[in-house]
Amino acid sequence: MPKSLRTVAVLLAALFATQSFAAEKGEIGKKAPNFTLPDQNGRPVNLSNYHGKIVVLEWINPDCPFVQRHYESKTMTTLATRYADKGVVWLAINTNGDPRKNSAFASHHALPYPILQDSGEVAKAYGAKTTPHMFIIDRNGKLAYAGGIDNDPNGDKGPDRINYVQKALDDLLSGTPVSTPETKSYGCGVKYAK
Amino acid sequence: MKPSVPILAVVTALAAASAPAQPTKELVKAELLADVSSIKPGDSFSVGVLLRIEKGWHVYWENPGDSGLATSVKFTAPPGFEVGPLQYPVPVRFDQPGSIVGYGYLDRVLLTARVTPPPTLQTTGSIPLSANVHWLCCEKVCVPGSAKLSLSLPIGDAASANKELFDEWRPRVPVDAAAAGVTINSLGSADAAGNVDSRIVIVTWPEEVKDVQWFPAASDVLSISAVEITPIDDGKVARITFSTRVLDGQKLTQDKLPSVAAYTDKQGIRRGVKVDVPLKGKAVRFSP
Repeated sequence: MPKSLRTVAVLLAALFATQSFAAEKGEIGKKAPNFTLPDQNGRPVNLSNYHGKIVVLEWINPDCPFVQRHYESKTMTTLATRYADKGVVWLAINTNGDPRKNSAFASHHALPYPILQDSGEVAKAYGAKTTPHMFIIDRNGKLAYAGGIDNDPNGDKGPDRINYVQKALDDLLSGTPVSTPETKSYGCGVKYAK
Repeated sequence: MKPSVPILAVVTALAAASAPAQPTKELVKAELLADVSSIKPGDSFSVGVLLRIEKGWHVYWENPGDSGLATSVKFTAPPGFEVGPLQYPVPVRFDQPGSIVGYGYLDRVLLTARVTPPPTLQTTGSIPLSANVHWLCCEKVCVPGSAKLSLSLPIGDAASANKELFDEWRPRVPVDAAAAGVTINSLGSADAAGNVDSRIVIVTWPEEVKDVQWFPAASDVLSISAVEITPIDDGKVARITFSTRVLDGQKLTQDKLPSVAAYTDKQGIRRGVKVDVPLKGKAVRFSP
């Protein structure tokens, strides 16, 4: 029994209070928010142009050590290239980054995909929190995966590492539901303010 | 390693448009210390890694929050010595733009562990202790760092050392609710999967407290949001409310979510109490 009537009152008041919680963005199974963003060459990229294709969004920041580690081990570029053969579109998005850094980074790593420049609106629409943060949109324009690139924030899991994006892509390409649609992402914080 | 005098160094401007914005000065200075100047067989003592962090930067708690990386310390002692678990003092909470929540430390932190020597020591020489530390230090950018630290202590009467430092940080290590005279009541509804709209934890202290903060443990399967803390009436009670959601496709395997309620006591000392939040079942209520 609670210690006092007052505690009971507090408990009940709290329970019946208006239940509001921050609606989370980028809900699995719901329509992925559309956007048009410029790439590092200023060319506009409109997500809806890719309707009917599987699209991977990768939140990126060239200054982030997590991103740097993945680019040194070619995690994203290998996946993007391999799955491009199967028609998967890959778009990197940098929120409030430096466009010149994006160009330099893209050249240095010979990126087979563009880095789109976002001022925070698209990150907010998807609920992107980290770099990297991965989202996969299915052929119907619905969000099919949101979360980390893998389960290995420290980069030390070796053979125990699970690449969630690869698994999700394999599921989608074989027409089965994504077995792990949502995971916790890790990385540096997305820069919502300059 | 002896504490070093702070060095005034010229700092490369982080906002420079040129190549990598990596600062040139040491962001984190790390030292391994003990609260004794010698080791007495059978007498437990504490070791600690003191991290001194560049102003404006932070390192992370055991649960870094939405981004970042937990600070890790692995202490090593010779065979026969028992090394207890790493003790994280109560952190602070950073709220970054975009509702990105972080938990960690500014300025300084002492990360400790208890060490128990065996009842007899064969050697007469010094005892080597070491610590392997990894951190991620962030401000506008994040810079990983690490240190391999060592400390050698003679065998002796275990006289006190670094007393002020260890006394300052010891109270900040969270304790069990019973040890703090704290009672916890929890109320909330959850479906079988552990999805919950709103969870309420009422913490009652034996005396008035201030600046209550709540820090959940890390979870791979739960998303926690909308944390609100409301002090009640006479300052002995705090109502902590938050929402939990199981990530799509994930399964809740744990019955409880460990967490820490941090507070400042009547003497102005920052402390913490462990709070295990039940995750399953309806309207669960408990007090230890």
